[in-house]
Amino acid sequence: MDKMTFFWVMIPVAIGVFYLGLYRNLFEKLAVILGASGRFIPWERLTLGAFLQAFQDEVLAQRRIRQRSQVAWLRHMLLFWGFMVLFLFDILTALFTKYLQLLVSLPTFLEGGVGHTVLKFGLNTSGAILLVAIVFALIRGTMVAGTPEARFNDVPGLVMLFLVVASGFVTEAVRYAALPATPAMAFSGLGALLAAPLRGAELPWASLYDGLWVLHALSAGVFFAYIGWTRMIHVIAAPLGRLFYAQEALRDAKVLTVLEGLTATAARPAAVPDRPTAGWGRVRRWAVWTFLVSELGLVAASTAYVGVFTREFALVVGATAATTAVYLAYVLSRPAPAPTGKLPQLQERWYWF
Amino acid sequence: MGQKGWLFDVNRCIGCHACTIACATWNGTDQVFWRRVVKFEWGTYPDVTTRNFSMPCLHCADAPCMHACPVKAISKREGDGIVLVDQATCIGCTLCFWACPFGVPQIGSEGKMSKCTYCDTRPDGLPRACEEVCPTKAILSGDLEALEPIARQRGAERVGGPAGPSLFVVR
Repeated sequence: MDKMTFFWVMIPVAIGVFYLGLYRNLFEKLAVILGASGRFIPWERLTLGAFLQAFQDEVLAQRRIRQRSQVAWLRHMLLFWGFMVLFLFDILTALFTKYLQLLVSLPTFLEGGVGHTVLKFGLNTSGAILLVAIVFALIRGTMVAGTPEARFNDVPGLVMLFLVVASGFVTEAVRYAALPATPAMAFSGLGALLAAPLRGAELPWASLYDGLWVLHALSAGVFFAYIGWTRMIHVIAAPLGRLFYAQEALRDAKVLTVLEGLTATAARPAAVPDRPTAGWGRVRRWAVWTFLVSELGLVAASTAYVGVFTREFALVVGATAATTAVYLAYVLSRPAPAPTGKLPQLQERWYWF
Repeated sequence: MGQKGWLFDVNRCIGCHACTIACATWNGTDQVFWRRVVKFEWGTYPDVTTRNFSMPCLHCADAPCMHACPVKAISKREGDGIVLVDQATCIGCTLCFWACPFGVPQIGSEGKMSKCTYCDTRPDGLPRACEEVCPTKAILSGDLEALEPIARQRGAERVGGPAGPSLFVVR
């Protein structure tokens, strides 16, 4: 199996594991909430302005972290922006220099000359920022943070991310070490710096590069799969929750649910059993459809690369089908989550005044 | 030691907000209030009335906030059943706020959720800060088992519902 086939087999599996975690730790929670209070959501009163304001304050500027500590804010901003810019440049590189070229003929300005140099500079600068931020966060996470829980809360995720970024730089360095030095390499920053002492050594550069490339891809896939299962899920859950929390109409509606809970009469319990399943069905459909779209999109992208009806194509489709089967079996086997457990010891009585 | 809870007498509450301030002062809650006084108005003119309800965390038997947390930052303490948020683990996603039937968890300026801790930093033997300061003794706290005879005596009933909030209310 060549390294690109390995990559295309690994990605759908990583996405599947990521989605399983997301389903268990986020989608099911959302289903409970929507089931309990979804009918109070005043969709027509949600405003784009509030979303944008929250996006600016909570996601782009992360002002609440700044209120906590300037140092924590700097660390988190470097992690966030380093990661996001690197991710964006990675997608641009992959799209314009590999995948879109397979489908349509595009200008090749990103594959050489100034365009390529800008791309390399962006990738390496954002990668270096991310690396500094990870080291910064690891020092804090292992030596500074207060309680034992706080001390090691994020360390496993940070170590994985460090492995992804560091292996990326080393892979780049090994690739450069096998090539004659050019002035354009200076724009690759850390990769070029690491390559300088390696150049001239008698090493099996091609196989070393392939091995490191696989390590880099594998660590990225493992990190991605890991997000849904741990505290790293905050990269999705926190912005999602904050964007909705910023909607005044939703917070007003929440007060209505509280009022209903406190003022309803004994006749109210008849309506209660309908609540959990209503939100659950909607969320489950959404979880299945987004997963299928992601997996099919990946198959389409990989097909453009490996070709149709090749051995590699069969491997990719097989991995995607197996992952999809596991995911669907898991989702369909999960019972509708009840908002709370049954409490037979309590008098079955709703709130009243 | 059993499940901790509250007894609240709606008839005694005058809506002075002393409990809110005492709670915020003792716990140093900065910009959020862990105990809030909610005013209800109902009826149609001329038969209208208002009541005040001082709302803390009800430390539910099967807390929905705990089930909604994606990172298991919320737990129910063994022994006394107090529902606590681990600040080091909380990611501030606000899902617990949306899940709580009473909208109790509050997001602070620092981006973490917080809520009533049942004054777990108070020395043993002292009443809760809100209870201590209430001028009409509308708030009582303690083991639910110990509160039950008092509730019966005052004609209070245990509030039900699927979450099992630890609260007796005197109507």
